[in-house]
Amino acid sequence: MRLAILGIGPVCALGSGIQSLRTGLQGKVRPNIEEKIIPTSHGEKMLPVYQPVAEGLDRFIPKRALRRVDPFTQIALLSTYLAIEDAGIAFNDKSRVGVVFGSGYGPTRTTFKFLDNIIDDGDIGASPTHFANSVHNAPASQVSIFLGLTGPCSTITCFEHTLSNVLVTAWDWLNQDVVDYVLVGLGDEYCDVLGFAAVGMNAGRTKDMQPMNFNACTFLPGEGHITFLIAKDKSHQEGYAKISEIRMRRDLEEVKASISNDPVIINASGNLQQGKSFLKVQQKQLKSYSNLYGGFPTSSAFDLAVGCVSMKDRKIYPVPESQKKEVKLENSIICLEFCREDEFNIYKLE
Amino acid sequence: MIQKGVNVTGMGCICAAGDSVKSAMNSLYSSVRNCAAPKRIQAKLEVEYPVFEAASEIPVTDPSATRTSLLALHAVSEALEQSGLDERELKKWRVGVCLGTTVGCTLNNEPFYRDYKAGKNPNVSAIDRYLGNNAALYIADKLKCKGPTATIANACSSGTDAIGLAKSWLENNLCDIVIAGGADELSRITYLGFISLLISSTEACRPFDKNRKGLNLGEGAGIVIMEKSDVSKARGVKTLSNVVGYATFADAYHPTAPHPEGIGLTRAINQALLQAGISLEQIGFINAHGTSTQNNDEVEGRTIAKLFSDIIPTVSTKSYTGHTLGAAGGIEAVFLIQGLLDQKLPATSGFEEFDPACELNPTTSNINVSAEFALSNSLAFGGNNSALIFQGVPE
Repeated sequence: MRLAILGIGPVCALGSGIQSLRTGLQGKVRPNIEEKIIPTSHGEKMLPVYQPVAEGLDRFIPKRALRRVDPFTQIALLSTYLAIEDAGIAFNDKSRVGVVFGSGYGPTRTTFKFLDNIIDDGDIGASPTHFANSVHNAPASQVSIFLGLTGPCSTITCFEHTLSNVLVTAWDWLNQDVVDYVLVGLGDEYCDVLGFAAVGMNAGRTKDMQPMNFNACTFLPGEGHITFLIAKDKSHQEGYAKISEIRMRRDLEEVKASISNDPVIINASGNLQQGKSFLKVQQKQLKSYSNLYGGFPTSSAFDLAVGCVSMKDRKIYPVPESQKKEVKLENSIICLEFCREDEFNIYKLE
Repeated sequence: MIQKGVNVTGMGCICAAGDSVKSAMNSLYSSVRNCAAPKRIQAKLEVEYPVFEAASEIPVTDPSATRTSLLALHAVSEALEQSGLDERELKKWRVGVCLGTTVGCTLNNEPFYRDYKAGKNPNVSAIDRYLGNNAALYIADKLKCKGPTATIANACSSGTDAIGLAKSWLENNLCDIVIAGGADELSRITYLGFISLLISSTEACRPFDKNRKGLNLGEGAGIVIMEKSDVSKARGVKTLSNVVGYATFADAYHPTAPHPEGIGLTRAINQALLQAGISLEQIGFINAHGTSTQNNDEVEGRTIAKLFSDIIPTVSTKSYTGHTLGAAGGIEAVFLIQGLLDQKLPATSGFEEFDPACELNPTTSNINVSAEFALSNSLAFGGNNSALIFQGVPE
């Protein structure tokens, strides 16, 4: 079965909504990069961080209803409403809409707020609200609650294996016919501790991310959430593209054989380990757009969105900061996701 | 008997009831429960909240491993041995790993964060350790498994959902064998978190009892080896049970409380029955979620009574393990399968007085059953409701 992507709701450093991603690809808007001060044993260091420009949630939910909702869940909600709006679909039967979300780190700021309560106020100071909001499945659950969706609801957290697993799960629910639509959401939240860890692991050595420079660590952390509204492929559907193949954990030889002629979007994010493996792929049409949204475990979902926009617009957008022009896109595009050394997930969009 | 679904060929378990399936079942059938003040974690509180801790002396085979990973590895080793899967055999097949956890996926290393907050610039190896201990990835790396790998984080239904997802992987031919279940260690974060929610009990839990005061946290891991029937046949390995039905649905009601009418749970049970191709009457017994909290037991008890009548044999094995969160679904699946094999259920320890609000009388002593199929429920924060149905395979 092929999956049809009917709507996309990105919230990232380029802004909120699919048009912000498109204008970013067109080079008309630059990502919001904020300088964070990171303490190190050698003094303070500045770390550029891709921060989301999250705007417009109050169009969908009154502010007072969000008082107990943590910031990560708020951008998850925003991206979900934007995806539904983008698809222009009203759910007639909310019991047949599933929610499957993925995240590498989950709601990190709330997790550390909970720890702050304990450290600052003692063990009796633990906050029930922060605890309930710190669990990984809080964003997916809040989406189901706010939208009244009573289909299946699940959350997967498996770093570079997250995107493939949420898509396979969505496919399974559609295949079993327990749902008509699935909201597939992926995202990660930046927090100061992650910035501290990133610097400790050599990030922030450059002021900009150079994803196609495979020989240097140019990783910069980011934050964002993106939701796709997905359904079974039917011929009359509007939308962006069809996911015709999801191949998990494939080795280098299989990757080389699979991507001979198609343009390939890779989830290179300035990480040296990734770079070494991508270097071996040896394909001329490799492209990376991660310097539009930064690096985080689920950022490959934004690559998938770039692939979808490219399919809809029938063009390959030039890689940011390059001087190249748009190229006409033919029939399909591949998104290639690094899993581990010389092992990748392959997504084919048609 | 027509065998359905995918086969279970191995089981492993570690929890407060025991460090193997056999020792845990001995505790269950002897009504022994190891519920006491926490030893591995300390907290400064006015009252003490007992927990169900697994044996502290798990061999540390890998210093970089978290306790959650070690608990998982312990149970995985037992399950692989029963299933006849050694390193050489694992290499022959596409083996997936699908595990549920809650503590095991959370970036909340308290000593590291205390040092960070105090401006001590702690070593980031703590973060590196977190990155290397994603439950499913850790096991897949250790065993060099090349199949799909996923960690499910659906709070208290994670282990059940992991087994459900593993079932779909096998049915959709994404792999041949899956190591599935759940693992979670006891942590100060969840300990203090559940106390802050006012649902932890100051005494040993009493699932479905009128005078229950809340849950006790526990820790452990429960693992099943699942495989396609043609694979288990080709390997010549004995089938213990079949996973025949699974479903999960959301309540869309409240972040930490189930829907009062149990709408999600009812739908999950009905869908799992539909997938299994059996009727309600064919379910021989239920291993309930049975946390001993007011909300869960009322909603789950009423839902079971409404669907099945109040005489279906129902047990809450959390009365022997505590609430092991992400591990619960895995551990309870193991106990359920062993119950099908033994055709026997343990007492629900701590239950004494019927609660009209729950409408359910769980087991009060070991009982013999005559069951081909059995149901395991899991309810979770966020309003998740999951149901798994297993078929027994008699000797």
